[in-house]
Amino acid sequence: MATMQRSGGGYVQRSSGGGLYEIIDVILDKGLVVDVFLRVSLVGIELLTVDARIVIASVDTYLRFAEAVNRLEITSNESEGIPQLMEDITEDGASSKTRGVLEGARESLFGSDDDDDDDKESSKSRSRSGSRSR
Amino acid sequence: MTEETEKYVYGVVLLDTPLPKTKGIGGRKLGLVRGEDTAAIVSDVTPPVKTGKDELTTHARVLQRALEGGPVLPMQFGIVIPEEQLVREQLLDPFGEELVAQLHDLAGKVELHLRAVFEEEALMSEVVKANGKVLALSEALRDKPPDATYYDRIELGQEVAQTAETLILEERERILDVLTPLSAGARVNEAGHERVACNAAFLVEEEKLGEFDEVVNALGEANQDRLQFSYTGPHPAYNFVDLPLQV
Repeated sequence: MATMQRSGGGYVQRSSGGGLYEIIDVILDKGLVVDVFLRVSLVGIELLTVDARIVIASVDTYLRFAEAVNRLEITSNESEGIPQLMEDITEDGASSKTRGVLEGARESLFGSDDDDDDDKESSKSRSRSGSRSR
Repeated sequence: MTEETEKYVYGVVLLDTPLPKTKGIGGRKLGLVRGEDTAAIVSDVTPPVKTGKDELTTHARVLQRALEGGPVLPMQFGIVIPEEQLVREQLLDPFGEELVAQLHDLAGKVELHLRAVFEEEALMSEVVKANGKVLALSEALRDKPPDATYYDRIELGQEVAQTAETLILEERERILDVLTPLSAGARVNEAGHERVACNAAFLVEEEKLGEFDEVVNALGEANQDRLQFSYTGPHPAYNFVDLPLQV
């Protein structure tokens, strides 16, 4: 399977940690299950999975959104009309961000060796509100 | 000393697939339990099995390596079968035909994960553009002390949330419309965050991988100020194994 070696291409950057946690989420949730009784107890796993899930329809979220929208205007110049400002802000965002075409292109989680050095990443648990189902 | 060992099962491969060159959970040696047409990749474990980050990572790595040798049906993390014979009796023998069919179907295909997250500032700007009421509500809040506008801010936030959700769904459709035709399958997974426009897995034929990459790159380029993409793979087809294994 020659194409498997694609990940050696220069455009692929190693996962910045999100990749590792992403795949952990996947293997806890996807894949074949023979019989649920054969599955080891997963108690405690919540402690290490990223669970940044945010309950969408909450007052906190609304307040945060309100703040985010209001923040847009704070950066605005009073003399311009607001709609124009919105355009400006969008464009400013464009020039100031200059992110790469794609952050990390397609990442390969497990590069060329067996050691995983992604582990130290701390893209961790903002809230582990226990909202994991299962 | 005789420890009581059981078999941790990583996945199922075709008989002629080489054993992945890596260690199993707990540093144990990997082995194959052979059925008629398929084999299970296993390693010994001594219960109770730890379920920490190392074990999870190892599970994923073994499958990743296995994929380099041919199609693989990944098991979900944490499947332990008490003894080798039961791996045949409970998995390989009763589901042999389906396992083989699924493996043949996955041959030459890989899973890719794509996640697109809206930049907050960009999303808010688009919300303001799309919904005039947001602007009006926001202006009304200006220069008032926060304590006096609690409910107004909630109302504004609700309005923002609604519009944002619409924009996000539209974005998801746009992304899927572009990528789904290039794939042999697409699964949209739970977003997990309010600004996630797309969290999807695609099953892509290896011949189309280059094209798929280019299209994703083009999406990334076209949206570089609005969306942050994370794109990973090839992965074993975690999202595309759906054998009816429950008897």
